[in-house]
Order: sequence, then structure tokens, then C-alpha cells
Amino acid sequence: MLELRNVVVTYGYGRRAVRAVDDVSLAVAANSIVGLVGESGSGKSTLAKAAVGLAPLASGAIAWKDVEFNPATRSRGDLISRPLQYVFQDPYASLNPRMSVGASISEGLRGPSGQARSGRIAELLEMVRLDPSDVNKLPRQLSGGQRQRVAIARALAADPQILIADEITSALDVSVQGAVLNLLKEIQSRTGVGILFISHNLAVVRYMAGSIAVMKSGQLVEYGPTEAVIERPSHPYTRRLLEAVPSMA
Amino acid sequence: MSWSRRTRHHLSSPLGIVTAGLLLLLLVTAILAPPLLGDRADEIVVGSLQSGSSAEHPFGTDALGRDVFTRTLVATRMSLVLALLVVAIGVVAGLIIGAVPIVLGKRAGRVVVAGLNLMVAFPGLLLALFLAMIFGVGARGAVLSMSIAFAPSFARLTHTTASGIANADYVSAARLLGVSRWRILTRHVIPNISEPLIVNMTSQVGAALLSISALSYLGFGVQPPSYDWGRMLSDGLPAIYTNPAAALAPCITIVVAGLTFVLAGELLTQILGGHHHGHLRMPSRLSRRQGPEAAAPTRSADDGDEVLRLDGLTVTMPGETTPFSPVTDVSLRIRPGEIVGLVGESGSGKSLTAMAAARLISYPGLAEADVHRIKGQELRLMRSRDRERLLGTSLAMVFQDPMSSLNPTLKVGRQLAEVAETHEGLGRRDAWQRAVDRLSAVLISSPEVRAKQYPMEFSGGMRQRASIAMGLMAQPALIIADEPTTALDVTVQREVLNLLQRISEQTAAAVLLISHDIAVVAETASRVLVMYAGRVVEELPVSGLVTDAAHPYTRALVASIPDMSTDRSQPLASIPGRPPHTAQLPAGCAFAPRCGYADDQCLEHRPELVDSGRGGAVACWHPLLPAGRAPQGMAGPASVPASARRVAAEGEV
Ligand SMILES: Nc1ncnc2c1ncn2[C@@H]1O[C@H](COP(=O)(O)OP(=O)(O)O)[C@@H](O)[C@H]1O
Ligand code: SF4
Ligand SMILES: [Mg+2]
Repeated sequence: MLELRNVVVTYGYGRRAVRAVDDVSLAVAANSIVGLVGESGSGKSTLAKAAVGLAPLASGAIAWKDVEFNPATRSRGDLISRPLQYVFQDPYASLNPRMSVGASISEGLRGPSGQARSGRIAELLEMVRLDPSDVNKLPRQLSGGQRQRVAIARALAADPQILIADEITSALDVSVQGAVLNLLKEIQSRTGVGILFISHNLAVVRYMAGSIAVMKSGQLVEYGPTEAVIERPSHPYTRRLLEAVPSMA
Repeated sequence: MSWSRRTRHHLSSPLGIVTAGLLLLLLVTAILAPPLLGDRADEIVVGSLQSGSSAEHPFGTDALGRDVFTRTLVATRMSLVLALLVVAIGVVAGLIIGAVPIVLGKRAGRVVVAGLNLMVAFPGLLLALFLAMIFGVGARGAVLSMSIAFAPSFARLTHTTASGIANADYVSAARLLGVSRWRILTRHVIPNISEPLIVNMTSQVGAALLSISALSYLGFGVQPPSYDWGRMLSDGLPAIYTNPAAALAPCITIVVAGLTFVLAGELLTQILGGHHHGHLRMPSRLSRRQGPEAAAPTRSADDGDEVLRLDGLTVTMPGETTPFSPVTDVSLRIRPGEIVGLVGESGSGKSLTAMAAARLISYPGLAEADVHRIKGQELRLMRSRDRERLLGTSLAMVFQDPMSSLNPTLKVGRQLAEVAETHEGLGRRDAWQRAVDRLSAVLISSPEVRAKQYPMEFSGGMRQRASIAMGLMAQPALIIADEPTTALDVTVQREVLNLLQRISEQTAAAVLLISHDIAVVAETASRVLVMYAGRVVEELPVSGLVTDAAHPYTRALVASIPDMSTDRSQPLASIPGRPPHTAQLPAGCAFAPRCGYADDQCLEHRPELVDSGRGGAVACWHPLLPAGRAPQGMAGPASVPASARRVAAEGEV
């Protein structure tokens, strides 16, 4: 279980300091998908990045299996870091343009070498429904959806116990969004990984998550099981979000 | 384009030819001049000290009576070698210093960077002069001091480029995977910074050449009997009035050689960066639309009172090898007060259609249409001044990024007012008054105060509203909005869409609303055009989107949008595969490779856009029946689109 305890993240100094995340507590257990919604700039990504040490904690703590640690100062290859993996929003920026698909995924692997390593890479490619023959391709030869699959495979290579998916379909066409989300859901139920699923799209979060957290201006304004939040929102901002979801009907 | 193809492409451009020629000339001179002309350059012509230019001595002779031209050629090697040495040493030192902060981590890094900034701020030549005094005069001292003077700026460049990459998402990902710092440096950072560094290094050779020459000129560098261009310049200068040519020759070579390396840097940028400049294969006007399949207007050709009418729009772009058409045969009509939506996946040609409608496609692109009328006036037949005026006063564009139409350095009210001043000749006062009025029309509260603020003081949604207000300054008859809400939050998106609707109702402006999100269009527009691979594949009233869409692609797009009633126990719908690039279209229906209903006919023949019998048009051999009605005898597709339900398990995404 990953716990964010009273996390505060500030950017800037002195009078210009902004509290990007203001005293937020949230937990993600294995075998669950926690949804996090809110408008851009509400602090969703900052909160998630703080959990893995990509944003500095001003106060509060991150606890992994009840042990508190400071993710920013953990040393490399640490036992604590690899169980937490992060999939970024923009698959065009999250893959090294000069590294082949195989080389990128390989970075996540520990241990197996030679044949076993390529075997594992092929397995991972299959898990994210990419053709194992894509292993030597460079990112620019792939579509956005395919790149996002590579990024997911790379994260899975580390055998994570918690996966943070930060707006992973926002840079993709709606037509391929479904396939990536289905894949994530399937991987979740197959591996039991816990997922913090971040999105600005309430319809998508409702589909993916068992519980939903709503952030506004750095604060957590609502948290509860998905049905409850959708059907009986308690915060006015959640109600506004619900009303603004565009619908086809 | 492959790397070698790109290299050849750029080398055959005018810039490439000139640069390569100059480089070759410098190289050949540097190699051949000293052995071939070395002796002649030291030869003393008796009785002709400091003579002016003559047939025998085009640049005259120097104080000892030696031929200046020959000496200039021979000095090429010394000058170039010194400059290259300076850059080489400077780069190595710079790389090492520049990489230090990244390897050491944040805190120690900050100290190094602060030191670097201090060094860079200190004038390089002054530092070099100071060092030259320490190292002593002579070529070696000059090169050493110059390299030390160059190193900080390289170190800083290395550091800024590298730290840009150190913050890239892929480096963050590697860190989370526990990849070591050393591996991050060698596998992620260095490969991705080498390009900008090489380019910069090349242009710096020119600067080094200049600086070394300056040192020699000042007497710190090369000492007699050796000589480089700088030395020759200082020898020639005392006699500048009697024999200007003697100083001119080294001057010219310094400038030409310096420029050559700057050009070489520019050329490398283009080759490595893959930009296209200069000559491109232009589309031939003859090749398009032969045969009987001329534009099939979806409605009768009566002209009515359309604000915008486009028939048979085709946009052609120069391709890598041959031109291609990202937009083909698109026809579009919008009446006053009507909101027409244009949807399709990214790359389907929506933006290019919008740009063409506003005549914003510029060389090397080419937009052609059979009819292009705004407010009934055929743009193709107008004089360009009249056309500019018509477009300027009747058309407003709204883009995804409002900052593409707002100037960050001007107050919002001022830039709005300027529109009315230039297009309608309004006085400053009146124009400002109207700006405030329009800001309030787009529901910006306390518009008088806001008008005096800069765009950066606005939130994203407010900026988009301000850019709409700017479009409203001239009472437009047509608003073209290309993904106006894509960068906005859902709650703000709702406000902006409502605003567009209100404006269209109140001012009877026609709106072309472009979005990749069919739900946005469904909520706002009354009619929708669906584009796929550069063509309109279906046109229909919005009311029929969910139930009446006849094209499998339209159905699949609609089905792929999850909403608040989507069944959570079922997989989400998506469209397998991806759209073809319009440069490589399949022979038949462009959607066939992704379509669950495709048969041989679809693969071989492209369906034309024809009346669908449901108040619109469709380009499909097997149009789907309205949902809920039983299929009528047609073998194959049922009314529930299996393709839309199909999970992309079998295809790539
Ligand atoms: N300036 C250009 N030069 C060459 N190709 C272009 C240019 N602009 C757009 N294209 C190509 O035209 C196609 C359609 O682009 P666009 O109109 O931007 O699509 P959309 O707006 O639907 O996403 C794409 O394949 C794109 O790569
Ligand atoms: S023409 Fe054929 S392939 Fe194309 S959309 Fe219609 S059924 Fe599918
Ligand atoms: Mg576009």
C-alpha cells in the first residue's frame, strides 16, 4: 500500500510561493484503481510526482508498506523506488528518441540477461499487444498509441506494485483511447498492481476507477467510492465537473 | 527521409553548394598552399617594398617586399589549425565542466553553474589577453588562453542542453527504473545533446578564427617568422594609406573563412534537424482530378445566402519525394447563424481545411477550389487588396492556443482596439470603448480593468475568451474555431462553447467548429462533417449522430467516446489500427483496413460522397441502417457496428 500523508508541495520562494499541493492524504492499495480528477493546475501531477520523488515534499510523508521514506533522497536502484512506476502523459516526450523499443523496455529489467532478457522483452511486448517484431523500432516509427504501450511495457518491466498513470490517454486520439484503457484494466486484473489513475476526464475516471478523489486548487475536495461520488457528489465543484462532461445524447 | 538522402538534399541547395564549395576551397588551400607556395611566400622581391597592387602582385607586397597574396594563401593553414585547436580544447574542457553539475547532483551542481555564469559574463577576449600575458606571447600561449576563454560558454551550453534533457520525461522514467546516473548520462543525455553541440562547435570555429587573429594582430599570438592572417593584418596596417591591399587580403580571408563556418553550422542544423528549406518539388496543377469523378456537391447548387461556400477544395503539400494532398475535394457550406462541426482523428485534414477557408495556406502548400465564396463574393476573382479587406472584416479565427493570436507584450484592450483601428479606421477612444464592450460580451467580468492587463495576467479560459473577443471586434460573419477548447478544462470548455453558441445566435455569425472530440461538436453544432484521410466521408445533422450515422467510421467515432453511462463491465470501444497517411492512400476506401464491413469492392474502389437520404451525405459502399431498424436484406453489416465494439486486440493502435 502506497500512502501519501499530509503531502504539501510548494513551488517558488517567499511571498511568491505557491502551494501546488496543500495537505493531501491519499492511499493506493494493491489490486485497486484509484481515480484522481481535477482541472489542469489543480495539483494532480504534482501530487503523483511527489509520491515518486519527482517533485520535492515541503512537508508530509510518503509511506510504502507503512514505512515512511523521503522519495527525493532515496539512492538509485533502491528497493523502494522500483515498485512505484510512473507512466507519463505525453508518449512523445517519455521515450528517448534514439533508443529502440527493446532498449527502452530493457532499462526496466533487472537480472535476466541474453536469451532470457529478450524473451522477457517479447513477453512484455505481447502483454501490451505490440508485435514482438517491433522491438528494434525507434519511437518515431510508432503511432502515439503504440508509444504509450511501450511506455507501459517499460514500467511493467520493473514489476511494479503501484503504477501511476498520469493522463496517459490525453495526448491520444479518442479513437485509440479505449484500447489503451482496456489494456491497463486488463493488466491490472491480471497482475494485481495498484493503479493511481489520473485524468481530467470524469467519464474516463468513472469507467476505470473503484474510488475517485477530486482535487481543486491543490486540495482534495472529495473522495469516495465511484458510485457515491458520481451519484451523490458532496462538493459543489464535483457537481460542476459532472455537469460539464460533454455527452453525445 | 533517410539521413543520407537528407544530406544530399541539403547539399544540393544553394546554401549547401556555397558552403561546401567554400569549405573545400579552405581545405585545399590549407593543405596545398604551404608546400607549393611556401618558398615563394618568403621570397623577397628586391626593389619593390610595399608596392601597391599590380598584375604581378595583385595585393601588392609587404614591408620586406614579399607577395601578400601568396602569403595570405600560405597563412590559411596556420590560421585554421589554430582556430580548430582552440575549439577542440575548449569543447573538451567545456564538456567536462558542463557535465560536472549533472553527475554531482543538485547542490554541488549549483555552485559550478554559478561559477560558469560568472565566467561567461566576463568578456572572453579580455580574459584571453590576461591569460596570454601569463602564458607568454606565441602561438601556444594564444591557443591555450583562447581555449580557456572559450570553455565556459561551451560548458554552459553543454549544461543547459543537458539539463533540458535531464528534465525530460524519459530521463525521469529511467531514474524511477533505477538506472544509474552514469548510464543516464551515457545513454540518454550525451546522445541527445551531441547534435546541438556539434552544430554550435562548427559555428564557433568562425569565432575562434576571429579571436585568434585578433590576438596575433595585437602581437600576442603568432610571432615572426611564422605568420597567420592576424599577424599579416598587423604588418599591413601601418601602410594602409599607401597600400590598402596588403591589409585587405588577410581581412577578406578572415571574414570569408569565418562566414564559411557560420554557414556550415547553419547547414548542419538543417541536415541534422531535418528541416526543409528552399527547393521543394512543387505539385503539378495538371495532375489533379481527371476523369468523370468531378466534385459531387452534396446539395443542389443554389446559392442561397451562405456565408461560406467552398466547393472541391484540395490542398497539396510538397512531400518527401512527390507532392500529396492532405485535403481532397472537400465541399463546405455554412449559413448565417449556423454552427457546423468538423470532426476526425488528428491528421485527417481539419486544420488545413480551416486554414484554406481563411486563405492562410502559404507556399510551399497550395490550396485550390472550384468555388470559394465568402458572403457571396468569389475570392478567387477578387483583387488581392479587396480580398484582404473582405477577409479582415468578415472572418475571425480562434485557435487552440489563444496566445497564437494575442501579443504577450501588449495590453489586452490595446490589441483588441488595434483591430478596429486598422480595419475600420476607428479613433483610439472609440476603438478602446469597443474593446471593453467586446470583452464584456465574452463575459469577462470588470472588462475596464481587464482591458488594461496583459494576456499573462489572464487564466487560460479568459485568454481564449479574449481571443474570441478580438475576433468579434470587426463584427465577423464567419468564425472559424480550430480546437478552441482542446487546451481547456471541461468546466471552462463548457463556458467557451456556450459563448460561441450565444454569439452565433445573437449576431447571426456562421461558425465552423473544429474538434477531434465528437462530443464537443455534438453539443454545439447543428450539422457535422466527418473527415477521414483528407476527405469528407459523412455529413449529417447532429441530431442523427448517435442513431442515424451511415458511415462505419462515424459510428465507431461516436462509440469510442466513454460517457457517464458507459457500461463499466464491458471493454471500451476503440478503432483498431490508425489512419493512413494521405501520401500513401490505399486504392479503395481509405477506411477499409480498419473497417469491419470491408469487402473486395471496398478494397478496390473508392466510394463517392452521395446523398444518404437522411439529410446528409455519405461515402461508403455499405452504409449502415439507422440504429434500431432491422437490416433490409443487405448481406453483411448489421445496424450495430461490430467494428466499433471491437476491441483493438488484433490491431496496433
Ligand atoms: N505545412 C505542412 N506541410 C506538409 N504536410 C502538412 C502540413 N500541415 C499539415 N500537413 C499534413 O496534412 C495532414 C492533415 O493535417 P491537419 O489539417 O493538421 O489535420 P488535423 O487538423 O485534422 O489534425 C497531416 O498528414 C499533416 O501531417
Ligand atoms: S466503403 Fe467499405 S470499407 Fe469503406 S467504410 Fe464503407 S463498408 Fe467500410
Ligand atoms: Mg488540427
